Amino acid sequence: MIFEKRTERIFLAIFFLIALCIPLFLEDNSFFVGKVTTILILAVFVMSLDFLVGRVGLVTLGHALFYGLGGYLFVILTPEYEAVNFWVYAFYVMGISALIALVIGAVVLRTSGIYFIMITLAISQMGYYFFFDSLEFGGGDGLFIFMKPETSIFGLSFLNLDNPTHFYYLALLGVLITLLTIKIVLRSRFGRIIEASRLNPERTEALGYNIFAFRLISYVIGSTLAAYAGLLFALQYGYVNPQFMTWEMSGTALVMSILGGMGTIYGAILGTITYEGLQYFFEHVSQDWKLFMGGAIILMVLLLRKGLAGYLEKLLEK
Amino acid sequence: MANNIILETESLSKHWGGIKALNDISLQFHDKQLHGVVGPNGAGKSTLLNMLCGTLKPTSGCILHKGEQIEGMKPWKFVRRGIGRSFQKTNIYADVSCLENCAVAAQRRFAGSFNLFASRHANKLVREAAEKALHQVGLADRISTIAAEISYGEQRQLELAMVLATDPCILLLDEPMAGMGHEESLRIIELLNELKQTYSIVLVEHDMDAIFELSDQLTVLDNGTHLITGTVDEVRNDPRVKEAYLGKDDEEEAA
Repeated sequence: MIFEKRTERIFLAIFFLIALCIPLFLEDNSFFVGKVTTILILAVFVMSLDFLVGRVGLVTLGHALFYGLGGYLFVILTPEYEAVNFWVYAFYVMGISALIALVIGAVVLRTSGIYFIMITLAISQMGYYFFFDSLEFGGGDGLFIFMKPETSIFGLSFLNLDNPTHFYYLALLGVLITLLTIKIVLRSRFGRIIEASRLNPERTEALGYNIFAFRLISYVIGSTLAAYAGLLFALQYGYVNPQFMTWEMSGTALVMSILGGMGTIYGAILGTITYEGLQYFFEHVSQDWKLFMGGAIILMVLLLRKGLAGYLEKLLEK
Repeated sequence: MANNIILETESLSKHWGGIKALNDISLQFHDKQLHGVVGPNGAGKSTLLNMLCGTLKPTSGCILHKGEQIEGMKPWKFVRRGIGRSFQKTNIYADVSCLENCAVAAQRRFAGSFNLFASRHANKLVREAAEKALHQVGLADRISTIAAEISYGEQRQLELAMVLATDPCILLLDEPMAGMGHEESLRIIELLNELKQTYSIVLVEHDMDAIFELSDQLTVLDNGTHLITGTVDEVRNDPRVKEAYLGKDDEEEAA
């Protein structure tokens, strides 16, 4: 069983049950379906960050770089007025993102601690300004997607990406695949060494493991998943711009992961939903919603030391 | 007694700026022998051990493992050659079970650690090797206990079990009895006596009774220099040693 905790199983069962049904009840409310789709896409991004920060022990402030890259690579790779195959191009985008993550990771992973935070932040800011200042990639306005890709597999097409409900299920599939990928990796023999390196890097090296290689592969996995989330987000809204890769984006995702319970993975889903829910609520209550939002987050972090997932576990685990 | 050399240093030195932590040390460590290293605080014992396991790079000199020069290699490559070490301060994975502690150590030998899909619990050989190591050090009844919950002495034993699970040919032990009670120390001495039948052991230890009892060869370091290497009796009767080390030790005991 890759879901070891009872709380985890209960939460995920309820989550997927509700998530599967949402479009059935709200078929005519496409705004709400779109909003939930965005939350699901963000959850993919936050889970990939939670994996790196909470499980591998790499506190990155530059994760949004790959979120943005996922969007940009897709628009740059596809011809402007021709519908491409979604699966093929998702594969290309993730492949290229993985290569870029390999190169960047090989540099940033030579540092650790506060230096790692700073260098990941610096590199993602470089990415941000590269796209912001580039004329061929649309500068601050970014690039637009004119043709949604088609999604046929061997000539069979189940999904129409122009249909919000279909797109919703694609995002939900993304959540499921990301969750399973991360959980399987964590349970694997590779995951054992990753866990060991986080708990005690010195010891792990003294047992014969090249920690650098393990961290690099993890970094590539996390970054590639983030790129997939960015690709989905770009497809949902039909554009990509430098705002995708701001450090605020990385920071917000970090807050969501902490709120949910760092390193719990399923907590990342919980944290994303809660954060977005709170924001939606406060935005409609007051113009100064950021003030309330900040207060609410401080309160929750103070009261729930191990995040929402930690609180649930206290209630549900014996 | 088998006399083949497993590990050897040739005029090994470590300088920190102008300070000579270790100077011109040439030693030979033999198969199936326990080689004790003693010396007053600051003599360079830990520096020597850290260089032997690759975590410190020597300023000059060589380290030879079975005749091959290895001093520039990364620490994890030392382990792969069968050079295992324990730490002076207990260094374990406190949050996971004793079995998992040893499984991390054993996994490298039997199964690819870059396998992203196979469950970590699936490989029988890893589990068996981890259990065997726990048996060897007498922690068989602690297999599924979380490492943080066992006693300090048991944690020291677990540390040894982790080294054993890497299947080393030479053990570098940095004060395995540090901070232990009398009975726990006796258990470790008994264990080391057993282990030296199979492994080559380099033992740094402050407990003089233990080291006199266990050592086949004994090296005395003083202030970064190599004073003498010989059998326990040779070292005990050497006037320089009495002056540099044992005299001081007596005073400490008296005080």
